[in-house]
Amino acid sequence: MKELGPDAKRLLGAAARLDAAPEQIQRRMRQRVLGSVAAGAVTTSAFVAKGAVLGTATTTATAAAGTTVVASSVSLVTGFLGAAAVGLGLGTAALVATHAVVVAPSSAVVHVGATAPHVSNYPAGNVHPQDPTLPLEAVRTQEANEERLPVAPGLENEATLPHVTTATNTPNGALKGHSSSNSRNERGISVARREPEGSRALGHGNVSTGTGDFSAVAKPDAASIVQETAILASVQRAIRRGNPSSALTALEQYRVQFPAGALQEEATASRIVALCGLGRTEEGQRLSADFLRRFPSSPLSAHVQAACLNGGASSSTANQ
Amino acid sequence: MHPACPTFEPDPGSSAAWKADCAVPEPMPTVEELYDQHFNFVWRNLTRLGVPAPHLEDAAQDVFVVVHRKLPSFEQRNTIKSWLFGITVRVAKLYRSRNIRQRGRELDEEPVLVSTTGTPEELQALRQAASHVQRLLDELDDDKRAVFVLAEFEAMTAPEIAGALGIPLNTAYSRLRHARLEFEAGVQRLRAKEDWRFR
Repeated sequence: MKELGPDAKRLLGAAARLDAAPEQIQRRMRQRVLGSVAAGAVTTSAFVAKGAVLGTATTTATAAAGTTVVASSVSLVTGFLGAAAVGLGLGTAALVATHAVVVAPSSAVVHVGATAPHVSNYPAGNVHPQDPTLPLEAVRTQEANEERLPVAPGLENEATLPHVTTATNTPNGALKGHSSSNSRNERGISVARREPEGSRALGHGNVSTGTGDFSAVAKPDAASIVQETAILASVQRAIRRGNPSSALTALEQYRVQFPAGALQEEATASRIVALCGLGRTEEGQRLSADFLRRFPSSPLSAHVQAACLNGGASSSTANQ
Repeated sequence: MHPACPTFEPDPGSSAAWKADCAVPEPMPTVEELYDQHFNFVWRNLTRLGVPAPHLEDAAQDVFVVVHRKLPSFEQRNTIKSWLFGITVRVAKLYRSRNIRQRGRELDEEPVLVSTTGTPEELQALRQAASHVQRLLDELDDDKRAVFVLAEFEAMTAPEIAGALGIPLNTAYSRLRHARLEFEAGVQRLRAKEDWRFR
């Protein structure tokens, strides 16, 4: 085969010497990629929101849900620090958790096709020949069934696991991770366990993006985040098992242990669900109104609002 | 492992069949390990495959999310790099196809690729070269571009390229031949312009 001429080779040789991302980008991307992967693989695509179809499952379900989450597609604190990151895709809000429309810091609208199933349980499928970001097939394993969060009726096949990771740009400028991740996520744990270089350089939980300035992000302590997520995971389990009183007990422990915890938003949402599940509707609604004031752009808003209307825990246990 | 396999490894060379049937497969790397070893590979190839700079980070994230999802199905008969490149190509194609009008990013303004060696003057020259190469690559279609990038930048062989892209070997050769011709023609045009400019 005819080789390239000397000029072409020289040109390519010079261009080939630029072969690495700037260190700053490497650090940022490490945090972002491993954070999202650890918390439950999320594929972003900047095109879906512009009308391009990535996968029928995600787009259809998004339309059906009619739920929009304003968030950032940057990495998240909780997911990055531990695979036990707790998600609050509860009950009907599984719609929120499974299909989130994300507004990236650069103002590009990003769709998160959150049908990526549980890391260690999903069957090995093939990447779509033309579009590797298409959602995977449903997860069928018993373990996944036990652990997965409830999905709204009719979306069972599309929104298999609400393992969604979104980082919400809250009004105070802090990023909060909302992820739904399985604590038995072996591969996720292996991702999250080792302290990434980016984290060492930037400090635990420091979320930064290339396109937005999130320097004011809260920097929770890594250990406390892991503990917080562990408690909230137990809260979630209790709610899923239809045991809201246990959930409230665990939430009380959370409140005492972490009065200014990084996952206040999630804890409050869980508390509302638990209260409504116990029939303490008035209390739940009062807390819900307070929640909406404190977290007006929370992706959990829809669920929180629906919690008491739907009879509380009934929605959370619908899928068990 | 096969039940008939011995629990100890036999002497080297004692049985080829044992190796074939009983060899313990390499442990599957984690996503983190893949990221640490291959992020730059993915990043520079997304760049060379024409993903616009503003979308590079999203595209890189997509690659690793797909990697994460597909890792259990990774077949070790492929090299990790060729497997990664296959995913990278598909993600890049997705981004390119929707952003075809956003060409012409200025590498000089905000470099997305750097070199770990060289003086600032050299780096400036490298960027200039990379800018030229990027324009020439933009003139290739996606299929030829992918083959060309693998062959010329990553020094992969045609069989490796065919495996990475899932195309027949002859197709890989054919695309590479055409890509080289087109690239060479582009270089000659560039050379002519430069000559004219400095005449």
